[in-house]
Amino acid sequence: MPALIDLRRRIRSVRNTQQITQAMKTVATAKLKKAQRTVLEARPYWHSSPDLISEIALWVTRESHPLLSKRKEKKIIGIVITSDKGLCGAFNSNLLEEAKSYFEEKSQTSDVRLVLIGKKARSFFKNSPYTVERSYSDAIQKLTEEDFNDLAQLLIHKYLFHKVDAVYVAYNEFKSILAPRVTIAKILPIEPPEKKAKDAYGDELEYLFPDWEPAMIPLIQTLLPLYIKSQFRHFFFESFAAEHAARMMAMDNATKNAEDLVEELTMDLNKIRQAGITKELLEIMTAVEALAKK
Amino acid sequence: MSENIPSTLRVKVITPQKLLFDEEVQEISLPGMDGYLGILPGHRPLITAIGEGNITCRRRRGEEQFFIHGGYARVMPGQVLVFTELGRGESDKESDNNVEG
Repeated sequence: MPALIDLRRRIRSVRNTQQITQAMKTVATAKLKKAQRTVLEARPYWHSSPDLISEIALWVTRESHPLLSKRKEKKIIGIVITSDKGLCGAFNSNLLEEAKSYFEEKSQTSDVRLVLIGKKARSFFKNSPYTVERSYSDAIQKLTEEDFNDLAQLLIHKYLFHKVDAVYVAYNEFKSILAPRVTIAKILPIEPPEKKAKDAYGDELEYLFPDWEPAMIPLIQTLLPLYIKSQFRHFFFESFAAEHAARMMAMDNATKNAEDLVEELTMDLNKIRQAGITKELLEIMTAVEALAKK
Repeated sequence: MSENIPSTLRVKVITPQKLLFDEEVQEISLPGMDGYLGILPGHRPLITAIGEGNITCRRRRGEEQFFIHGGYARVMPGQVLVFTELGRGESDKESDNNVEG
């Protein structure tokens, strides 16, 4: 029979843990709200700018700008966006597993290099055969506009100078609070979602051929890099919001589990205490009876 | 197509932070690369880069100004979409002042 004091100790420690998870949940909820607002307020931008790009792609041939032209994928860069901290359920592990199998498949035909964002990605790919181009960890939430621009610029450069033939990003999309969606997207070369724009205009397309100010080629030269940069930041914010949502859910579950455990342990404790009392009573009774017989 | 020229322009000024402005206006003036562009409803389709300066949206009553720093705009006969990385409107300034006060 486990001693009562051990059970009491366990209950106390579970309660303490519960308090911590509860606090973490509260913090994650607050952070989620902020991150969610950033994502939602930014959505008009992210949703309209691909539309614009796809419209442009209607009038511009793929050969007219190198960022649009496809090449055989001999060298690719994979960007993996994870979080710095754990305690957020399967948020990182799902993504990392998916990314790993995806890049493993790619590495059959091409040379894969990685850009890792977040501590978790770094430790996961530490012993992998891929070359790590760059890694950002520690305080990824403090990455600034300049960091994103810097990275985007680097990738664009590499692409233009044929150092790399395609760039993929693996990240968690903030689909809903309940579950993030692991997404692997190709950001370079730019793949315009062509069909949508064509459907929107139908036959009027010819009439709508736009003027370009300045001329078409210089304009898309400034526009496409801008697009890539903004897309990049967008992925990052999505991942950030998804991380907090995942942590909130994980901590919520942990709190509930702790509650269940406390209940179970209290039940055990009561049973044992009761058993002890019954036993003592029995002893007293037998003693009394034995005395009475004398 | 000339018979159905729209009478107003739907203007959206979109930044990565938020939708800065989304209203029907009579006229908009944009800072182009080589000077300001005035756009009225029914303008020819145009894709343009934007420099640094003020966007002025004229409504029937009053007007609204934004400062923007670079970006691009998509002009359609009844619609203008302005994409900018950095932009601030008058309401932002007010709220900034409130924070300081």
